[in-house]
Amino acid sequence: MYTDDDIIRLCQQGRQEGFALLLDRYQARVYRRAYTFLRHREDALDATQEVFLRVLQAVRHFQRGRAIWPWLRQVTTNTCLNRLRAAERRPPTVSLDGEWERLQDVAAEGDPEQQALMAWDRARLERALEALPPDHRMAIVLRHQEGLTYNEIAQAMQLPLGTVKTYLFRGRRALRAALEAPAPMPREGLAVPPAGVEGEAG
Amino acid sequence: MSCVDDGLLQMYVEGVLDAAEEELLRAHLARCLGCRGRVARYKALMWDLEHLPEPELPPELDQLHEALLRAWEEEQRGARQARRPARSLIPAWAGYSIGWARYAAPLDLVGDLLSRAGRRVLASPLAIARRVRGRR
Repeated sequence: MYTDDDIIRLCQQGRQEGFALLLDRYQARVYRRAYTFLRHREDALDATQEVFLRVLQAVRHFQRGRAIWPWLRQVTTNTCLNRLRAAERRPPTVSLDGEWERLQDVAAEGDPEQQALMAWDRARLERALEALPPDHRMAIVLRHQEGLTYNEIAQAMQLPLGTVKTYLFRGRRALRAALEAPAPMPREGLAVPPAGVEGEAG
Repeated sequence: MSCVDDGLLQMYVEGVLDAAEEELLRAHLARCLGCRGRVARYKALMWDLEHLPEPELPPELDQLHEALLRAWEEEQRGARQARRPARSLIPAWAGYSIGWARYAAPLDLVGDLLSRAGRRVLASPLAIARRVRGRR
């Protein structure tokens, strides 16, 4: 089992197996984090590529003995922030990314009604997250999925601490409001997609 | 205490309030059903956020893996090539030295002739030479 330090040492020796190990261990994680920030499959793939292209140029300067993930998370955060800020100048696109299929897959396991309701709640939360301003969403993901402290988020996003707190508070309040707003519920199992999902998917 | 703002309630749920603030808020929650409800909803929201399923991995990640390994190879090749000219600078520098050596001897000769001519001029009875000698 290779440690982070072994991987960095191999990379710094210019050996391809080091970079292959780095990809094996962290590529999926970087993609997932990028997807959570960007909420768009192709953008997340592009961001993943960009992250590792930056990494392969910078790895020779990486300080041995440090964990790789915090560094990769920082590169991923920066890369996604740049993309999100650039995208703010472009018209928004809606990406459902197989949301309805996911609902049906989940509903197929266990108690259908219970599973369907849970999946429906989760889908609503994911859509509410998607609708948040990108900076708010990123702060929330770093807080609740990466477990960073307020200070660490401020450092990662290069923002003042007060701004991070504001993003978190406003973001969570918006999520709560979105989840509490009346919404069409799935009826009679999941035979028919909910109107909102179907309408936006088309 | 009147009903507290959302930010404070969220910080309470996260457990990041200082001890005094937390005590005050607890006292308020003990008698405010509305705020207890909000706390419960924020707890549920934060739990949900922490337990969102990870997104599925797209099949293109395998191709990306291969493409990145090729990019690594290219980067290494580029780095090796960048190191090569550094070594080849030595013969180039040596070449320049040898080249300059060709002109060094004639230049020495020209310098020698000029300095001899200068000494002769200074020793001569010309007006300019007298002026220079006078300054010295």
